Amino acid sequence: MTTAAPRAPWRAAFERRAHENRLSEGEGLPALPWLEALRRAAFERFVAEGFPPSTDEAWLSTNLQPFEEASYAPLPLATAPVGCAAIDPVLRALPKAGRIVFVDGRPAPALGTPLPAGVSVLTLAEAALREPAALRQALALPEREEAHPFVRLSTAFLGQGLWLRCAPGAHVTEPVVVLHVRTRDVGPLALHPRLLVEVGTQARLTLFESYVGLGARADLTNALTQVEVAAGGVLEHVRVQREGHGTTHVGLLKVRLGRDARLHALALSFGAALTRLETEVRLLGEGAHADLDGLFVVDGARRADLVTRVEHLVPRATSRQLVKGVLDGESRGAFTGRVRVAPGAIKTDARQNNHNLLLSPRAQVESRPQLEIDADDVKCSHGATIGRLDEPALFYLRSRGIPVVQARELLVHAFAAEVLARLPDGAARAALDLVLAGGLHEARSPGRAP
Amino acid sequence: MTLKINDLHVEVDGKPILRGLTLEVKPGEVHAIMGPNGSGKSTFAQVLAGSEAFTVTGGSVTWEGRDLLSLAAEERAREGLFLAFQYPVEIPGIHNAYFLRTALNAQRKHRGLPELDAVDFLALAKDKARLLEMDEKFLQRSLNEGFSGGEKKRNEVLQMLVLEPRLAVLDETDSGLDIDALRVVAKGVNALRDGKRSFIVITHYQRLLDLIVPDVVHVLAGGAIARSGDRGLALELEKHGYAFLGRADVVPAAQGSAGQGSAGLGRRSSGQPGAAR
Repeated sequence: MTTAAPRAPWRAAFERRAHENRLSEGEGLPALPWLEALRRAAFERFVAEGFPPSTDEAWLSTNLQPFEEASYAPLPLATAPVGCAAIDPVLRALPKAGRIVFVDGRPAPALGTPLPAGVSVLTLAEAALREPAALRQALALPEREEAHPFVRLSTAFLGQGLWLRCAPGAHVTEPVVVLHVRTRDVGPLALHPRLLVEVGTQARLTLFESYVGLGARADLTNALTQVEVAAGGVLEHVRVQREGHGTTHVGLLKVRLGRDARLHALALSFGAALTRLETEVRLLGEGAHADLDGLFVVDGARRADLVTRVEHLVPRATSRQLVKGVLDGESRGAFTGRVRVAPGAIKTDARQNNHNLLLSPRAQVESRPQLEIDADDVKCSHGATIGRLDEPALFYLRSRGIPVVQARELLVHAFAAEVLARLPDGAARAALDLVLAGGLHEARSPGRAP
Repeated sequence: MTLKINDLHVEVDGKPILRGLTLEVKPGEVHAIMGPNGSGKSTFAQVLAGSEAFTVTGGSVTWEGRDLLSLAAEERAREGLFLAFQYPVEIPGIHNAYFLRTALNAQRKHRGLPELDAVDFLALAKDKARLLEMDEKFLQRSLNEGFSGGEKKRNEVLQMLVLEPRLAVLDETDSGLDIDALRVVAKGVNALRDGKRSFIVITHYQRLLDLIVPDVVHVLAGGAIARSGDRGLALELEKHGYAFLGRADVVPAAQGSAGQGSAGLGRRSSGQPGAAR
């Protein structure tokens, strides 16, 4: 059955959004003609293209059709009081971090702390007035590149967003945390947080994006982060997804790396009903290096897709990937890792590893390495495993008096923790180890027979 | 604190391994179990510790009157049973000291004792490591990962010293050890001997029994005790090998047994179908 106006609820929300922006003075984006045109163009492309059908291999048969007619509540006008430290172990473990907090899609400056020296931030509204040309160029970039409907939606529903800059040469030791909290009592909400990040030449920055949900509403979080790391710059980027178990979380991290720039991107997914975390890296300068690590933990009927796209576009760039999945119950998961080596990108060294742990006979996981190599004299490798908990190891732990439930947790933690081992920042590693322990504990199905 | 094993039958994948093993270990006794490869020694050790890889098809095991076979592996450990593995498992990502503290505290909790914090535990573990002449850096590594054969065995004995079991089963803890390591391992075991704690020492070699002097020596063959005796039996085996087992059915196994705990042990040996293999 077809309706006369497909994706009508989205159109209603889009028209309403312009109105909402006018209502919340000083928060929303200014009504600049170029911005409105950009948003409307993205929206019309979204309406024309719709969501990928469930036969689309890139979405691994994820049924997105319910989103065609999904409708969401308006953003609340005031933010609910939230104790950040109480809900986010990342913040608790990184007390000195500079932080920016959003609650239910609205900025919550009272919960923020000053950013470390060398880091500056503009809201997109401020950027639109002060640096319209630069912003316009930045916002249009993902639209020009290979884009899926969630990119279109991000631009169409652009609202709360940040432009974060790390000054050239600044070695920022304290991390910056951008925290998004969804409270229990409002919703369902569709949130499209946009984050632009610039790391200047020879600068160093550690950035956390943390998404926490306290309720179980059928929210949509559609997070798009665009990063530019200039020559010799270093970015540690950590995404932690701990949304409520009703949420669909789509997160896209797009990174451009200049000469000798380094990225270490770690994607950790624990919550949400349906998660898709994409990481796309363009190695644009010789000597650039990217580490892309990831972990997803799912149980029940939840599912998680981790997707990486690494584009080796110049000679002598390197990339390493380690992605792990832990699946329990009837959950499903997938890792799709695409590595493209463009013509002329000689001396590329790209390695990819994916390991999955199935804790239940009904859980399913797919591992899909995709290597496209159009250059000679390159090193590309991939490896994938799917396994179950090692029974001899489990017996060994139990034979020392450790209860079976705890023994399983220890083994799962040991499997998962490897993705944290490559984080150079000890405090960040310790913080994430706490998150990991919590995430594994929450996701473990109770009452399973040993 | 007596362990009574009566007519124990065990299979793996439908293949019988233990075929009527009977043994009684009284408090404070050290029993050595010897026997040819494939006779079921390691299966016996694993079954005692609660491995689910084997199926018990008959017989009983009681520990202080309780049915040991009805307890899960961790429950047996908490009741004071310990198995030093022949092949300790390597577990990357599990910190050795953290693992051992978790194990100790699980057992202490079960016994109503306060748990040890990291500092107190580390002091205890270092103390025990010193006794074993073991570098304390092993405490900070992943559990058995990359340990040499000898280091793994030392780590087993370290766990035993920390957990202080009431019955310890050592499964070929001596194999692969040089004479110095053997001496250290024996020192660890002897440090725990207090007249109440019992040991089952599975070994191929008489030399370990020079250092850990057993009360009784048994020969396991074809899945049952083929013969029991005092230390002299071990010396005899060292000299003549297991060839004499061909005569096992004409020599009552209990004959020459000195230890009280061995009374009746050889009963089942005569006429055991597998005894002459």
